[in-house]
Amino acid sequence: MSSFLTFSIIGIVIGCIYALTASGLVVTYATSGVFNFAHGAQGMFCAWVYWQLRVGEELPTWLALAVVLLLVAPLLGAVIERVLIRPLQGAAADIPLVVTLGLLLFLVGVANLFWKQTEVHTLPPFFPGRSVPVFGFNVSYHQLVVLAVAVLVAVGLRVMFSATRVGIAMRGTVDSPVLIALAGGSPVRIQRLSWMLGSVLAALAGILLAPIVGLSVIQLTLLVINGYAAALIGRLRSLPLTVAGAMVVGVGTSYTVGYANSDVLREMQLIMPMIVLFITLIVLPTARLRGAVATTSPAPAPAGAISTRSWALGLVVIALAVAPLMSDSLVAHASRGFGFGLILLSMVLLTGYGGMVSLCQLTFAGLGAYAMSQVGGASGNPLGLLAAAALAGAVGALVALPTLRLRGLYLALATLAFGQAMDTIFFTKVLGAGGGLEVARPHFPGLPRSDRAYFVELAVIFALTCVGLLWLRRGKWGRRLSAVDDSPAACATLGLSIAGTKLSVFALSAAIAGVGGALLIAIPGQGSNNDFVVLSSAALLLSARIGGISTMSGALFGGLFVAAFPALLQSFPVLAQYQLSFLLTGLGAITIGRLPHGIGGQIAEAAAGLRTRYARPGQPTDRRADFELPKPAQHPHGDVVLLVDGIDVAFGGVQALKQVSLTAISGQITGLIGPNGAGKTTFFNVVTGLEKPRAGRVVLVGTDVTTLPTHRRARLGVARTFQRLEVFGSLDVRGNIRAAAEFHRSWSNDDTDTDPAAVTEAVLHQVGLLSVADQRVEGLPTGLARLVELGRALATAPRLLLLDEPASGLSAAETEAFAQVLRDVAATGTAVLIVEHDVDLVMKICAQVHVLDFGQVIASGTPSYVQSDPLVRAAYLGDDPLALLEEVNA
Amino acid sequence: MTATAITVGNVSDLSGPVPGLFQGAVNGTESYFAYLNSQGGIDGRQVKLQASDGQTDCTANQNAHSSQLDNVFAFVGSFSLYDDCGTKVVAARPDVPDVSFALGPKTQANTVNQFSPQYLPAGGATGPFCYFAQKYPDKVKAVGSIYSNIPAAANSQKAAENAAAQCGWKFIASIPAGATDTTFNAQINRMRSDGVKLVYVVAQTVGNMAEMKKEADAQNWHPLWVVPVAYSSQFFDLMGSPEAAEGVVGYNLYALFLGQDEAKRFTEVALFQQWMKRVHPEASLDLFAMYGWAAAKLFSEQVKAVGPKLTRKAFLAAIRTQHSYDAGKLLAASDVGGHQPPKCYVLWQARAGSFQRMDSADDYRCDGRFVRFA
Repeated sequence: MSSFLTFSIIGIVIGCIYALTASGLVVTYATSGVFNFAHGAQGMFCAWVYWQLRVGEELPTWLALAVVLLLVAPLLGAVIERVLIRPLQGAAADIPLVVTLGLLLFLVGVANLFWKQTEVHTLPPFFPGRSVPVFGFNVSYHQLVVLAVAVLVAVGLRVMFSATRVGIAMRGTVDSPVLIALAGGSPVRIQRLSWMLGSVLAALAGILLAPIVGLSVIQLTLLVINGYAAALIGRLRSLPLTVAGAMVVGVGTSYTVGYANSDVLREMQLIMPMIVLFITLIVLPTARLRGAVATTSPAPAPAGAISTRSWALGLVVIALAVAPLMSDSLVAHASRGFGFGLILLSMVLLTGYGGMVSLCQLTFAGLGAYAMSQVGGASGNPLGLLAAAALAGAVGALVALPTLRLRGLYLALATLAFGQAMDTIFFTKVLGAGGGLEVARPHFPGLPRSDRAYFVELAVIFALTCVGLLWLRRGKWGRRLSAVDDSPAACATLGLSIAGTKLSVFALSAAIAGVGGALLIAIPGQGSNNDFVVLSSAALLLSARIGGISTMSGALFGGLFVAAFPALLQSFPVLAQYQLSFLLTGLGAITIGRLPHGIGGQIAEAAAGLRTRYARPGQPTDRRADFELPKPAQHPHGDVVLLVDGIDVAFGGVQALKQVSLTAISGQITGLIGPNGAGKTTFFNVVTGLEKPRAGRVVLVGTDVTTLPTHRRARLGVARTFQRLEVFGSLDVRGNIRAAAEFHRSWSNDDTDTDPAAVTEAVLHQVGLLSVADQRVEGLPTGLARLVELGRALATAPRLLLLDEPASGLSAAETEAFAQVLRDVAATGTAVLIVEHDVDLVMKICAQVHVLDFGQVIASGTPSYVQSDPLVRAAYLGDDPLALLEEVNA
Repeated sequence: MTATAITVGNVSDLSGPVPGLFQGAVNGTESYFAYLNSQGGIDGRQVKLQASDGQTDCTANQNAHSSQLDNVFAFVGSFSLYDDCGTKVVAARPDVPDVSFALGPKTQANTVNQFSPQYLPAGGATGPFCYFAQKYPDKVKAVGSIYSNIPAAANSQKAAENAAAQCGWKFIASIPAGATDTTFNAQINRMRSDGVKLVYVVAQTVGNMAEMKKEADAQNWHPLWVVPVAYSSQFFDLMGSPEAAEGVVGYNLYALFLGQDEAKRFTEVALFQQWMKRVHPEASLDLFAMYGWAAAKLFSEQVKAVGPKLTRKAFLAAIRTQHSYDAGKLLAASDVGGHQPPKCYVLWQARAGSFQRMDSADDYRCDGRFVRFA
């Protein structure tokens, strides 16, 4: 028992270390929305400055503390906010990650520049030599200080965020900077203050932990990783829960060390924080994970087939031309550029196209290298490459399975946990150290074996992979991928199982990384676990962003960027003294906020601009002549397609829907009106499965779907549009509708087997979008974009069509045309349920109208009946309630 | 090579995650050649060192070797975590000698043109373990250890445990620690509760080892510390005071090159200390500098043995006949030409802020054998 208590106390002491690091992380995230990878590095840097003042300059402790905590740390935070963070507003989820990673590398470089890591530097603890026994463990006074500070920070910040004006404003800035500005606050000033506070907390942690863990640049920087699990348990916003989470991780680690009696359990101890992190991410409900949705700007449109082939051919020709002219070492460096470029292509696919962030792509590369070594053998059997793709792809799919519902930061952290665990328990054993893994270059019969030939082979493989990926991107799978990235919610309501798409992207991306890893390691012919550490994956993502993560050329630039540093250091050894690779990579991160699509994206945009400038003006393509246009699907009239019975929905204490019941009949247009906040969109979300009701049931064409997921409901024939547009912005108008038609074909049991291309053209014609069919939807006016949503829904031949404010943004003439479209749709037997603020339109086209107010149906009937209902007029149509009351009484 | 100069190459890891990691190897090699040149060089030729950065990276190491291959007579004193990568280049040119400490297994396996000043394959000398078994028969039956969970360290740990087992040592708590683990309270308490009486640490950094000792002291737990890894100029600084380090013991397969006592005992140690201070006054003495010095000395002695008509072929023929090389007692002698490991060792203890001989021996103890570990 006493041993158990001792391990418990030790666990709490370890937990305090995690708590202190995690608290700062949570504060920064809660007040700025940025998960700061560089938090540990900021603490490390400030700890070194403190050492310089306290030990180097022999300042009194209080003075050194004051200078660092009141001057250096806040200043560092303010500079970071101004230079790095402020330009990131609205950026994709991975950009803040890689920018702060760049900051981490930069600070490591600066620290290495000023303080030699080969010399001993120590920071004395506070109250050295003094301790107090607790259950058989002597807790030092310094550890007690850490404990006290961890608790005080948690309590103090909780009070600050809940009870002070500035604290509430800090939290509010993340949710709505506009509201803060309207309330008279300055979002910029508040964000700056948040980063200054985060920096002070990082400095405090660094100064307190350096005497315990040693004044080491790398260890202090990476210490915070073990705190990630605690921060996630605290949902990145609750400091008390974060401290509790830190204790769980600390005590869990201590017990595992104390009681593990097998090798497997001992290894579990090594990855305990990562296990807790992974489980936390999997178990925590999605809804509780704020910020999980990326706000990425759509990737540039893919190049055409001819342009791609020309580019690829050009690349190979250049490789062939320069290969004989380069020195041996330059050939090796350039080959590495292609090798890294291939791994970066996997990131282009996953992150650039798919919007998913992985921090373990090098783990897949390592698996690929391992498979190549086992199957390719010493002769370099090309089948080894297939094995590399298969192993990495299979593991990629396995990783993706439990993480499918995660996006953005949370997916990134889950992959980080996986990569770290693989690094610790697999690669260290299987791959060995310092070039222990032998990987032969794949030998293709008939091709010469030389460094130069291999360089050209890599160029060919890179070019072919680019061509293949762009072919996929332009086709059905690519449309599906873009759609899932642009709007997962829209995909689900069109019947697409997002999980399958994400799984396939993850697996394909991992497979490409696996092949890239095999080819990369085959350049020197040797690899080791050090080549695939998870932090290098993160650094590679940074390079991908600098090169351009949405384009093939970006992957090439990124690969060459990574390969350039060893070449530069070899040619100019003096640069190593100046920490060139760390500093330049860090500085590169600054560009990311300003150039979200990187160098490759800039080139793609410039090329597109040139094409537009010199292109002959043309008409939008009308492909109706190419197909026999299908007639709209016919459904029987008069059936109850939708039956909603007694639905209750509550958000916290707010009752959004209360005992709502209504029906929608095939062949009829039914209106659902009510003032803002009445619960109309929530009702649509309940019908489509995006919101779970607390009570009641939803029946679609005779099937109770209350517990079915969204995509399964869509497959029963319900389609919808959204109040806040959910278009596939990276596709053109035709692509949006074609994607929906393809989704429909993939799950439909329709025997007619209509060609999606023909359906697309018919729908374009039906909703009047032919003139803009080739335009990218991202830049369309709202009214047209709403028609795109309508067309997309119609492409699935729905039995029930839910339209959420479809006429907003339309002109009077367009509204008139739109009304006719809806009548035509209803005439096919489709039940149409429309939420619309244009009351004239509703009254003109609807057979039945339901009125919602404060979540309750207050009236139902024909338009004229509803219009005359005094309660409706009071609640929605704006009449004076007192006058109406008199009218009723009379 | 010209009539007045011999240019040799060196590829050591100077940049990477830990900047300046093996700068000592370059410093030691340079210092020896500075000393040699001050004595007139070899047969009228001065020796010039052309050092390259291996960048702690496989391809960079290969490139550095490739680019030097045709410009140098031999490679001397290199030290790299990726020497196996460079060896691929060197092995493909069997005419180019490489006289550098062999760290990786593939480098050690190159018996054609790679000659380490001390051949140390995976394994361990049994002598020290048997000495401690005889002196502390009860303690060696309850041994605990914390080792780093990185491939090279884990292998070293297993190799040492294998050699120790030959002398009756029993490891009852052998605990891996993560690369970023920096507090060891739980591990210390586990060893304590398991009844560990002797803590053996070889596969860790000296910084982590010092932290372990301090944490054990803070818990008033005082086992016998047999910690070869502690032999470093940094150890006493890391411990914070000479008293905190008192009683720690260990063994080396090389001389106690940090101390003045050994300098009085072995002239080569004094020369090493003197010329390191003269050529690199800012650098502290370390193992890598010592191996660099020993490699440069081995190279120079073989060049002298060949005489004025120096060729690579003649050099390789000469060094292959070198079956007992100890760099003037700087190292425990090993069969350099035959690629056989040493069996001799030196015992030390930390006393009054320095490393001192633990026993009364004035020379190396050579009472065991070297047990290889596959």
